[in-house]
Amino acid sequence: MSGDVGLRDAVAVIGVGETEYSKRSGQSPVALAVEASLAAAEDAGIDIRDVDGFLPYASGITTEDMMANLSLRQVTFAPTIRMGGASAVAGLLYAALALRAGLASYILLLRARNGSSGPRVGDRRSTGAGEEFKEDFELPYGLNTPGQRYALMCRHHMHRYGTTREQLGAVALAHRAHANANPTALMYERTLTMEQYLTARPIAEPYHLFDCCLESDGGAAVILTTPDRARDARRPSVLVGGVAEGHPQSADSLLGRDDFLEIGLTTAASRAWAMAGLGPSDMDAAMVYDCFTFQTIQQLEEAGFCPRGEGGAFVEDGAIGPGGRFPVNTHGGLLSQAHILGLNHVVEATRQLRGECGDRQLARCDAVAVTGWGDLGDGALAILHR
Amino acid sequence: MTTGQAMPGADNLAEAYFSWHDQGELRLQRCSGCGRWRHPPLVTCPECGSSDLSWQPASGLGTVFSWTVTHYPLVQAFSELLPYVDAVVACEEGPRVFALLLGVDPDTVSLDMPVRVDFADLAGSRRAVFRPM
Repeated sequence: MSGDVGLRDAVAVIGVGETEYSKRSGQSPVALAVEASLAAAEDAGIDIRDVDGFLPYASGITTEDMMANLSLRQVTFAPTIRMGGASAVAGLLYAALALRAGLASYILLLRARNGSSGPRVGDRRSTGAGEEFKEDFELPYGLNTPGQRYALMCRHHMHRYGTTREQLGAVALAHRAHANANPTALMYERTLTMEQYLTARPIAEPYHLFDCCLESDGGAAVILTTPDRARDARRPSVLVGGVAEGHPQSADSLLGRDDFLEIGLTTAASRAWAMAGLGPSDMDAAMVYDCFTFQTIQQLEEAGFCPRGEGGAFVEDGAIGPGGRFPVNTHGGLLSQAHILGLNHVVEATRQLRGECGDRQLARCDAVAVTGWGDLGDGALAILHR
Repeated sequence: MTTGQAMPGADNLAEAYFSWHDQGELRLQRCSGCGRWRHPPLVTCPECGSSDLSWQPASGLGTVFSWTVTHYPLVQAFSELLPYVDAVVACEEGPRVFALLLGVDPDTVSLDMPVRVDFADLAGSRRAVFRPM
């Protein structure tokens, strides 16, 4: 392999924690953050006060919040990664750099929010990249939410490659079927049929209700350290074999991209695969940042699981659902578990690799790909393995 | 600025773009260095690096590159227009622009459909929109 292997296996995931996921937590985001962090420390078998690195979300809990509320002794590394929904997976890259450089020993990657009972997506002022552009050029035409923007990508793909609503529906149904086997999923007890999918009310066509992810309350936390320290952890450690971030041309706007379907993941993928020394065919499952149904298809294509234009066929006939040829988002994802900014995808990959998933546990799980996508263009891919 | 029209609101490229709409014109940035058209506007040309960009009249002809039909009041000022069609229009000159597509049944919009610019009052401002040809 090339020099890209430099950060291969530089990070071990030693602890994961989650709060209850709900539509109304009744707690503050800081309280959710503390609960998730303590659960992750317990899972890792470390004292939370040993955490000396922190990877916060750009518009959420701050380093200072966590230092005060967790009584952290010192924090020596706390970058803010402004990549929206790609930040959780990209955080693994920054953790790799810091751990390899000795800047921190135990790094807490955290997401906590009241995304349902607090301000909803249409109400929040985004602090993401390109916001000024969006307010200037999109809002004057009534475009203001991710659903509308991502729908534009979906529509182009549908007409260029023949991707159908039934194929989008296959994504929604697969996620729902996974969630129906996961007691922590918001949609655990709610089944979904293709008829219900097809007849749901339109939001921003081609997206209807069940094409859109949930807005939810809850927190998730992951504790990262070096593989050496991980040997003392309570549970089998999971290693980050490869991780990379990418940014498309014209990251803030769909308009300026020569290749309309190029996303950050497009360029991140080849670097992450090279670092890990593994490829798509080596994966037992993928946890894909499923903000909308088509974006799952698009990322399966751009990460290399199938050629561009063939993602619709790839997801048909339950192929990515429980017991399918290639399971995707076995926790139910953002579409049917909860929207915890993609950190729930890292948690699920870790639990599958440890064999802790009960009814939904994959029979074979040695390696899992995890994608992140944020701010319309930013992307990341990590390859986790046992 | 050595060629073409002086650029209004040079410190705010969006303001500059829409100021032409107020006058009933669709203008796009064009590089004096290499002649390439550009949108969304930038302070330097991504092709040749020149900062000599001016606003030149576009033909107003283009084709539908993608679109979404909004059915839900995601932007309050547009609630009365629901359902409305937002399109990415590929202009004849090359660049793509966002605009509302008017005068069309949302169910009959199609990829590569030819459209022509028009101007309409949107949320209190005169804005370029597109209609089927």
